[in-house]
Amino acid sequence: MRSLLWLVWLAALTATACGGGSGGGIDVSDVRVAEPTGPNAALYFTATSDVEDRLIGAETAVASSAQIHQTVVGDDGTMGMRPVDSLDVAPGERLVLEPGGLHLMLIDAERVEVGDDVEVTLIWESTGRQTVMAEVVSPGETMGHTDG
Amino acid sequence: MFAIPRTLMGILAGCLILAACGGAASTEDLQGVVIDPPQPKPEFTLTDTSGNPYDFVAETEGKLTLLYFGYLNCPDICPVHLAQIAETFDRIPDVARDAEVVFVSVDPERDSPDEIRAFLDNFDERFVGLTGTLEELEAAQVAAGVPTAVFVGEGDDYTVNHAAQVIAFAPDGLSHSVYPFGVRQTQWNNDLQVLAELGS
Repeated sequence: MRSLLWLVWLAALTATACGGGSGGGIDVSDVRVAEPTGPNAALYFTATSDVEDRLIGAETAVASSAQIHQTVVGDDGTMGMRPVDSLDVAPGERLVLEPGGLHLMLIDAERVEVGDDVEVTLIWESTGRQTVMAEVVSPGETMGHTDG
Repeated sequence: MFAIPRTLMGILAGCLILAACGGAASTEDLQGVVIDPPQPKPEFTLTDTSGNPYDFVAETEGKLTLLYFGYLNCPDICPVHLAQIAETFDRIPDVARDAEVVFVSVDPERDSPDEIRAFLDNFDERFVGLTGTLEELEAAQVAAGVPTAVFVGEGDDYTVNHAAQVIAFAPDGLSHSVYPFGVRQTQWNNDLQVLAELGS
């Protein structure tokens, strides 16, 4: 019994350490926010889900608001952003927020620094509120580059 | 009697020529989007973050130069480009020493010179920040051959559609390659060293 408790505690600790979060079958991982270099900062993550749901908003104490944005490429090759109302998740699909695509834009972000952890609450239409931890990384690191 | 030494000398001479030529940089070694034929530098003068005029061609003469048009409220694309360049420069300080990174803010309504300076200092204090009137900035973008920025939305929350590529100029004064968004750090690392050798 004692070893079982130990295992449960270890599993809980591991889940916390990984910085992800699970809310009613929605698994959120690789949560990272670019160290703010201007008024706003971008937050990225990957979500998988056992249920159909819809991300309808987000909140964090380190920004005045958080908006879902998509970077889009124009016909003339320019890139710009447009707000998105919601993002769907469904079983068997991956919702990926990454540079050059979808992101949560943290408006008027505080000057958090590389290495800091930021608490972010994702608001799902059915599941409700899900709190995850985001690691602050250099903007260059948000691409997930690996070049040794 | 002299046949062998002559042959050896010939081989030695061949090796020397190969060594001299083999290390030369070539645009074929670039991993960015190669511009063929290479393009000359755009001629424009804007204002730097100290309030002084900055003649792009004159100030960057003989230097590896990276030119990028962006804006400070851009959280997704602009910081990634600049952070990647800064991190690459940290790895190749010999190249960085003689290089010039020029960031042109296309959003003069919101981006003051002081704010541009603070923004760039997040990456590298050597990065040059430029601003100007809307007309001057539009002319600079046209000269650089990039689509001019388009402002979308109203009030303070407008966004800016802007060219997402970094234009690279070798010390020979020509643009040999551009770097659209999505370039990996390994590509920067390779290309900045190749470009630094072109015409230097």
